[in-house]
Amino acid sequence: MRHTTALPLLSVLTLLALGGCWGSGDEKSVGSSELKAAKTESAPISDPRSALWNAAQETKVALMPQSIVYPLLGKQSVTSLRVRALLDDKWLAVRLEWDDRQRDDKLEVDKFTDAIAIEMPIGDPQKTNPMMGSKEYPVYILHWKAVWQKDVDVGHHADVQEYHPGYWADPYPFVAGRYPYDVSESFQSDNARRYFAATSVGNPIAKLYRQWPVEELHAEGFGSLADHNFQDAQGKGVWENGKWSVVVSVPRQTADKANPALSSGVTTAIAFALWDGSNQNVGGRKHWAPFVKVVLP
Amino acid sequence: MSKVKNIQLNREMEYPYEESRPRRQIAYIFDTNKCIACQTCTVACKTTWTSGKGQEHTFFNNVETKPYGFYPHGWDVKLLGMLGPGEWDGEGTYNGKTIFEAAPPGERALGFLPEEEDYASPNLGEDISAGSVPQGAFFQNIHNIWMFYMARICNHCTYPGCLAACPRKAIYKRPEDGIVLVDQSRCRGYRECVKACPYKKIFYNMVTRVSEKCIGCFPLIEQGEQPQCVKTCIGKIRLQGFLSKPGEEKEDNPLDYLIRIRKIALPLYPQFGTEPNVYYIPPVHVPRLFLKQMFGPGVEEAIAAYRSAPRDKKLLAALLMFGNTPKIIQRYAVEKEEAVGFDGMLQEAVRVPFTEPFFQRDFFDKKHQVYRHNIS
Repeated sequence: MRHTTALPLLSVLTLLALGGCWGSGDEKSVGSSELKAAKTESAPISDPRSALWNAAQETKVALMPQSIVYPLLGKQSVTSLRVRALLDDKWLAVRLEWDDRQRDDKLEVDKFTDAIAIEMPIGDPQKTNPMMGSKEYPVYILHWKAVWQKDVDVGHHADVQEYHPGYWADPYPFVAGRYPYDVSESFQSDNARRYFAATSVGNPIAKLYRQWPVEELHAEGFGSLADHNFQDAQGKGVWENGKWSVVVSVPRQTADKANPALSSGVTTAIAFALWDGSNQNVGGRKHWAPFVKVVLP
Repeated sequence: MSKVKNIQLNREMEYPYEESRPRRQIAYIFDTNKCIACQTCTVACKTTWTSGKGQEHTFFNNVETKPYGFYPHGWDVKLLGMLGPGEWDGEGTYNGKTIFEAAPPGERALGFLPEEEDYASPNLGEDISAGSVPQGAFFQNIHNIWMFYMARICNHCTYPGCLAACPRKAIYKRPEDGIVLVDQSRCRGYRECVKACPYKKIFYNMVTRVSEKCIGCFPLIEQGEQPQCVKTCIGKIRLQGFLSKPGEEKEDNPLDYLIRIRKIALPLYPQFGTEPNVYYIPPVHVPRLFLKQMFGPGVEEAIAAYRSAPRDKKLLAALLMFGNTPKIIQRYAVEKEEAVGFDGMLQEAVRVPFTEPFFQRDFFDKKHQVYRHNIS
């Protein structure tokens, strides 16, 4: 079937024309248009509460509801992000903070996770579309999810009984061990994983074990999101007192050609996306901010 | 949106993609008059496909009692309420809005996301009739209180709501047989499909964190065999085969004949607009207004044709293809007093007499020196 309804390249262009590729310079309405990374000896790549972040200038980034492609975000619930960036020889670490009264880190049919993503151009920032890039000018995306953070923090994949202690089925074929048959331990054989179809075919969303709560992605337009073969980014998120603090860290020295070039002195760009789980944000139902300029010292 | 022809609505409708029918369309007929809700189909499907962790409440196949049975809870009445009333005219044209035409701003289709608890009672309403039988009515005559069993699977729709709503194009319809599948390597668990499927036959797996659905037992289909739920049905209520493209129907294809030519089997909630491909022979004892809402305007004619089957050899022969062979029947024929079905290689797959021969054995088995409980 051929798709006939791409919304509106015109809308994208209109939006960019209104905001400019680097976003608007009107700080009152849309926040800053530049993120200045501060140089440090050792960036706190997985510590959003480190005092070192005080050395970096805070940039306020205004968020908008995604209104370019279906499905749209109907209701905006977060208006801005507070962003700081630190750079050492190996990493570009970006900390994002926002107010969120409810921590959403569960996934069920009607429950969605809080999440953020940063996006950077792989090629010329001035020619790259901040809405998921394009075939000619793809983008690098680093995605953090609260549900992955919880997996990492507790040391295992969120299990059925954590949400519903009374749920179980009589036979889980080929399962090992005892009830409640922990997902991370009792389903190790290929036969036992036959019913985890997405896991069996290597879908990164269906991983049963995570070392980091982040995922490196590549996009060449809407609907093209794909995992990097090589995952070497890091990050960590902490929710406290109605506020998320999340650091996501992009490696500067990597053989992965799908990563952005982050040499000192480079001026590049960074865009943001945010998902508020309790407002059923997922996929395209997200908050976003177009590119702001990033100056690497 | 594109304009596509929906043959069940007898009109064009809006859909996010252009019309692209498969070379042949997988289709099923379920005879509601024969279903006893034994759930053998449900168990066969669950054992085969959804016995994993995270699939505790996933039933690609379920059998619910109408009017009060739902899985998930309220799946159809909620959507009917959202869609509002719609009329069929005398020509069999639906003049209301489909889920695509009634899509709210920013959405591909009208729909709702069930809550986790809505899946927790798959047998809710089971065996509950539409009303209480008046005292003494049992002894007087046939009473008018009704219920019926409705087996449900994915409808492998011609215009799937799930496919329309997926922003990643992780859902696709196979051109060779029209089976609708979720690409398990591409799905990122957005659940737009769960929301948009009007039949709520896509399920979110909280362990793998992606959506899953009935795969039409395609590994069996590819070997010329009918799906698990069809093969295991002890009531022989099911037949699976392929529908030809509209206008290319063949009289000796039992699916074409029963659905498109004799119109004995009808789609479930055709007004949703997805052109579902599981067709139901409506229950003969249920109020027509209820059936018309559920199966569209052809109910009276379908029931009349069904009742005529004992006197109509061609029709009866097609109905005898149900549940008598694991093979997919591509064509059938009447040969004297027998119905004969042929597989994809046009080899004879099944031969069924119109009247089963009757054998009566002696009450006492001399060989084993025992009395028989059943002698016929």
